[in-house]
Amino acid sequence: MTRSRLLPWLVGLAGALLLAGGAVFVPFEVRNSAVAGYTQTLDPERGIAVRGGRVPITYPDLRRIDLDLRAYTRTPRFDITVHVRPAVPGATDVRVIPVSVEGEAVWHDKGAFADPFTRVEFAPIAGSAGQRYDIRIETGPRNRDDILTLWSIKTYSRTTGREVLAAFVARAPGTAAPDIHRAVLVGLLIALVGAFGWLLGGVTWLVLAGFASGEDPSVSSVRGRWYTLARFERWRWPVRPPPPGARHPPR
Amino acid sequence: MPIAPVLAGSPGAAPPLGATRRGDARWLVPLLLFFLVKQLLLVTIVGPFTGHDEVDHYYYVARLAAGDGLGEVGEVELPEAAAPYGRYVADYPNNAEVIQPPLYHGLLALLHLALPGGTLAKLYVLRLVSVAVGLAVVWIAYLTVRLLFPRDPLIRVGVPIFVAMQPQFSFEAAIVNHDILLILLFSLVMYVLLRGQRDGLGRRGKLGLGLLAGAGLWTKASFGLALPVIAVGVFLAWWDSRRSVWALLRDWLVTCGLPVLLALPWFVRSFWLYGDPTGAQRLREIPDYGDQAQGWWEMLSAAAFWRDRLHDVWGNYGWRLIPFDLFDYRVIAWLWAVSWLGLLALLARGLGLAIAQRLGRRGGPPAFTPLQRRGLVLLGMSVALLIVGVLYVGTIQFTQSRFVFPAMIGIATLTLVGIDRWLPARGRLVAVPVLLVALMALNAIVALRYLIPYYYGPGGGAAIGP
Repeated sequence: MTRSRLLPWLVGLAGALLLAGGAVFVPFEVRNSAVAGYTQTLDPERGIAVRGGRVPITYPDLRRIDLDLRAYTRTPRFDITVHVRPAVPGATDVRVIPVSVEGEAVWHDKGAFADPFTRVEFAPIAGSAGQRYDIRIETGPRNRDDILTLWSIKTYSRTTGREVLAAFVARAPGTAAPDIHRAVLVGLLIALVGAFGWLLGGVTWLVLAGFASGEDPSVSSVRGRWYTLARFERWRWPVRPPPPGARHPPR
Repeated sequence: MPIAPVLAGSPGAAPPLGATRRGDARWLVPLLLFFLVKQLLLVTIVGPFTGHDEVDHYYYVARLAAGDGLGEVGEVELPEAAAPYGRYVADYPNNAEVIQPPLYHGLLALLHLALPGGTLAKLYVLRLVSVAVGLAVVWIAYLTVRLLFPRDPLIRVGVPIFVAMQPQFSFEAAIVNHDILLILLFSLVMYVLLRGQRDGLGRRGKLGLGLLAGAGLWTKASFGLALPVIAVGVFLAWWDSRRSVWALLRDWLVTCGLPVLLALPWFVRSFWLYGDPTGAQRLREIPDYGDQAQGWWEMLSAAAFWRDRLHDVWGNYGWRLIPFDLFDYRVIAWLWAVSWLGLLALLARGLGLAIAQRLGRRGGPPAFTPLQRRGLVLLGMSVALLIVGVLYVGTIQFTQSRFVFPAMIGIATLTLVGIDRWLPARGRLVAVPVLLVALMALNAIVALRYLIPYYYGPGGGAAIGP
């Protein structure tokens, strides 16, 4: 097999392996299940925003929460303590995280393209999957009289794609013959990786064929390029005379 | 009258290496396979009935299959079995989708009748129909750009890849919703129209356009936004043919009048029931479903409105259930902005050239062939009209960017043209695998970080099982 024939296969194989390896082994932060990506903290009965909320966690190793904090009094800085506590009777805080944020960053009237969330990280909570936690903020002594509310909460766990895919394969709908069902899903995941490798190989072949042909697409096609005008100073339209009676572009 | 040699490229020139059908098969076959496998997985990943309006559409199909008739909005309620999915319904317990023309639902009703098994089994089989339709759209995307840009590898290859891997198009092609049929019909209309610009619109082409548009109107009333594009495309084809004005009127009658005539019974029915041809007024009257915006300017002038539209195009699966994080949106927005800036630069250059020619100066070669110019104008027009549709819906209910997806091939083409023209000629070839890897990375990140974890986790998720 010549090098030009081998290379697309090698690139495709490398792409497939990288995709599979990355999807299975590379750790990343997964966002826990919540409608619209976050849990709202609005108290609908009183029609007010509050300083805490209860969040369901679906993955282990909860390690980050993003808080949409909104301040209604002008203060240079807010000293906040974030409390994370299992939502079970008699539980105590499992994490207490002090945070200091600029008043401007949490001012309630945020721009349309501003990121409203303040990121809070802490040591992972190993057994967080399937648990619910109460998250509450408390302002420090110098902000006792300031008005600060918590509009919504996003939560993240550290995991790998292996855990995510395993949860999908184990829990995907389909009650009849669960083993076959799981085997089909795993087969589809493998097929996806294979198809991507094949596709990447095909695209690589296209690139190599383009280079090998020595064609310069900008010259071979009947078009100029707006940024390379100088190259086309002597260029002419290769127009074939239109058939009699026809009114053809270019006009 | 065929005008292909003049418009499509160098007369008699052989296609560039890799641009032959056989060469294209090297990447197109795996792309179609990749799309198919990805969609099968997506069908399984997306929890039952969590697609936008999926509950309503499914039970509209079931209703027709059961012979219960078309029904009237406000009077047709969803069955008890839909109760667990009530939070995914816009107007629970009412089925608001019975306001829609029934072509898609009628076709699926036949399949629904033939299928054994319970509701969930039938739902998943009906989702497979969307996969097949999505596959056809990717194929049409290839045909369309092969027609317009046969010698530009980044556009010829990039557009089908873009369509196949665009997250929200993929979502549409994995749920039960008539939007996917609308996308197919719209894409077909655009392809026939663009082919007509190259080869001339024969009798069959015009009749085909009329029938396709008629089918589109029987799928969703918003297909009417395609009619101005058809009218302009037919006019341009007529201009090339140098026929009489009467011939133009006949052409318009077949391509634009026939579909309206075909869809007239449905519009008359809606007028009879709701007081207007589309039933929009009835939707406005539904509590908690009504006006999102007081007027068009309120939407046009609001930065948050455009931010949300950008988010909708790429994320916000379903009824905005699953957004991306802001960082992801920002990366996408910046990359997309490069493309749109490229388009603006091309537009400015085109205008400059036109002015220079008008003044009798040479001004340099044009950036596109006339066929490409026409194609981009028609595709751009279709995108613009559908954006108007998005704004119109915003006066009825809370609107979503997916209403512009019938022009997905146009969006992809304009995006890739904008990118293509920034790159040096040889760089465009290398950009093809770069685009593929970038879109694959986006799909993998979205699936692993947001989509699957929303529905499934070791500690539970949002998917409601049987």
